[in-house]
Amino acid sequence: MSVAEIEKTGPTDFELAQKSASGDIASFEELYHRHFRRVYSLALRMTGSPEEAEDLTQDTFTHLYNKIGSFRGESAFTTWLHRMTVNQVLMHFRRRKSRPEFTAFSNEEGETPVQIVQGTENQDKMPVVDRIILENAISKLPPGYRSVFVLHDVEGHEHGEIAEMLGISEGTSKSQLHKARLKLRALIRQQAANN
Amino acid sequence: MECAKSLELLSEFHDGGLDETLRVQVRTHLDECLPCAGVFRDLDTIVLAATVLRSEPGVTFPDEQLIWRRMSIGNGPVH
Repeated sequence: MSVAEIEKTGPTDFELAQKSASGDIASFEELYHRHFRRVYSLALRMTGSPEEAEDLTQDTFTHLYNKIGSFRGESAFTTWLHRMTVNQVLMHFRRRKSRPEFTAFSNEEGETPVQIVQGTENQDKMPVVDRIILENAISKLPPGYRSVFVLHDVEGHEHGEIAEMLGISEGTSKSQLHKARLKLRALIRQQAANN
Repeated sequence: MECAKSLELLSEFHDGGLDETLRVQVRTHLDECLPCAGVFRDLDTIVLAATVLRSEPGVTFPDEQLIWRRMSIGNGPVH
């Protein structure tokens, strides 16, 4: 049964949240099952790692349980939970930022800027980009590029929303998105050339 | 418009974020410059594929019940 169908036939997310806040574990468990897949999918796309996504899903719902009383129904529950998930992933990125192999949200990204010099580019055509090829390429993006690409092009958020969620400017969001797309293009073409 | 400037603006052009003057300049450049037009087509392919990803998650989900039990909600503090 889809979330929309559950909403029509059962209690709303807001009602479940209110009951959860009063200590009704069964209501919280229902919220968990309604939104588990959405939270896991977002965490997976943003991290590119099933193991990290699993841990972050657990962290997000644990945090949700502790904060459920602060949900006032002013926005949709899914929007509220979505932001909470993004925040958990970003905190995770910041925690591991101290590890030298990771960088997140610096403009530099530890990357050589993507440049296209006339006449030097591989003229091969772009291969057909299916789900597997794209997901594989997304998983290789630096975290900052990946977050903006996933939030904008996959999840469909506007730059203003992304800027607010990630604590960056709209200009940075636009710039990161463009770099992410160019980097994906390079990764996909490189992958095709290697096959 | 130079290629470098055009390449810098392709995503915003694609997403409809440019003002009319820049939009026309990029459009004109793409009509005349095959390499830049090729990059633009590739970016469009990627954005389209991402949209499909949105509607077809294609994700293998872990054991939902196992993660629920791991959180121990209702069996003491979860902090």
